[in-house]
Amino acid sequence: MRRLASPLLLILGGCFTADLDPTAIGVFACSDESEDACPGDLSCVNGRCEAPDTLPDVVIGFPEVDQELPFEDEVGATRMVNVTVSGTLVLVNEVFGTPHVFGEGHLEVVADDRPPVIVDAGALGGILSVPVVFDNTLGPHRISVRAIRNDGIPYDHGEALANRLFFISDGTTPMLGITRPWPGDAFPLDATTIEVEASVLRFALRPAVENGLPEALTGHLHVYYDRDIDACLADVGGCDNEYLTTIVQEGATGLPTLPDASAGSFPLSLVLRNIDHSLFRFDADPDDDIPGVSIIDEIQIVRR
Amino acid sequence: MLALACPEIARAAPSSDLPDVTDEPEPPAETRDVDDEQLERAMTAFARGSAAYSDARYQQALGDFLEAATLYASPDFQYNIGLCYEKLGKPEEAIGAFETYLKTKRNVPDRANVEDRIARQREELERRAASAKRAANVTPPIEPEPDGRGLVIAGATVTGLGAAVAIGGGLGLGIAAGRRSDEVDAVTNGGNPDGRTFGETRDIADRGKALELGQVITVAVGGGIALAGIAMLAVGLSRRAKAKATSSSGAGPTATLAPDFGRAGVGLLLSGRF
Repeated sequence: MRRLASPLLLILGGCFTADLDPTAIGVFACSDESEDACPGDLSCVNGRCEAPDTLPDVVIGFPEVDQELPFEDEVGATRMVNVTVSGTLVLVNEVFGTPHVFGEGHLEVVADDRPPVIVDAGALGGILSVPVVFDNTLGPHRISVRAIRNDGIPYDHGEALANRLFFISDGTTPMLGITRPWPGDAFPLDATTIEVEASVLRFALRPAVENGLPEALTGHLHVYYDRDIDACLADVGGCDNEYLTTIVQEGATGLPTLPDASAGSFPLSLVLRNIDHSLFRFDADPDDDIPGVSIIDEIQIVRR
Repeated sequence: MLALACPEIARAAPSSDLPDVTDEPEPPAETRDVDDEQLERAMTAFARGSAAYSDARYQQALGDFLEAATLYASPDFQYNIGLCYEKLGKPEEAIGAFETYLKTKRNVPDRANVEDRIARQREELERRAASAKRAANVTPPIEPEPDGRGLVIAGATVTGLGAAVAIGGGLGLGIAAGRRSDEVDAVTNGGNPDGRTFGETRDIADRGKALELGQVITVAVGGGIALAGIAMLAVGLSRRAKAKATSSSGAGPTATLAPDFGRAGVGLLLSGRF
């Protein structure tokens, strides 16, 4: 019947002949803000619904989480770290104007706030070693490896980005590194509560005790937002006590509420404090005249 | 003394019809003493009647002869009256006049002739009676079949309406459904340039399918109406062709359009002769 009717319908002006396949990959637009943006098991990647088993991912193998790399004083201001990366992204040469092919692209490797390193050759199916230059300084260091599409647009699904915090350590100095949020993470302009997590080495986190006696290498974290932390700690600006919240135990999450802000980049700082809230200073040699150093980690987050 | 000019009557009337009267008209016994003035008037009327009869003005002649007979009761007047009724096609009245003539006339010299006239008038009466009987027995005339003009007009109107519904609805809804189909194709096969989500695309597809369903229904309904109109048109044309053939005894060209239901499908059969 339909076969007989179709020619007549076509003569009369056409008919509906399209087939809608809900399992079509890379066809439908989507938005992460919409819960049912993609049909079935498809995942929303860069505004298109893609099959979960085809999403390119990257994984950092080395350095490991919170790994301490020994400080090498003799290498100078910078040092090379061979970061190992694996994953499913198909690396292709970055050519301007190349049309995007889902699953293909290149890697953008960023060490701390250094310029990115592009990796567009090799095979991620195995383990790819990428030599990355870091400042040769004690303390936390961060490395980000992000999968980028052929057209220069970053893949925006979670598996396309790998972050790793590690330390260059002398083995004795307590260390602090913010693991969450990550530098460059963005938050809305309205007042919002964020989650703050940190890794701490050689320092025991305990709840604060008002007027308690200081204990060695024991205390908690103060979380500051949008403060000149060095000035605050020197109490020049009188803002040393204007922390937003504390983190008092290992693995705990601080939940500071960021105030309203205009768009821009703002510092988020964590400081090791003694158990009585006083500033913790680490003095490697108490017998010398050199004062101890405060343990601080600071990143920039974005409000927009 | 009466001086009826019967020879003048014979001259005024067709010679074969008038009695051969050469003597004075025979008066009835009771009118022998009629006065001269009344006789004069009777003769005048008789003369007028004779002239009218000669001019074939039989109704006028009848009136004059009847007037004469009223004024003077002569059997000869009854004979002339019978002639007038005969000419006027009134056999019953003619028979009465002729029989009065035979009864009142003494020594009728043309009795055979008059009796022959009476016989012919009786035959005429019988013929008329038989004709009336036949007419009474004839079946009432059959009303002529309608010529199908109304059906043709109605059929053409319904056909046009159905075609308009089918074509208009099919075209409009088909174009709309086709556009929805193109929009979905642009998403699935054209790279989704407008960035439509699956939900949006599904809504478009649903609307397209609904439009297509509407298109099919509209075409079906319109087609059905059109077919009904075509059937009416075919019947109307057939009736018109029959009516035309009847009126022209089949001399002119005829055409017949009728629905045809065969194994291969449904169609229209056009037949005719020239």
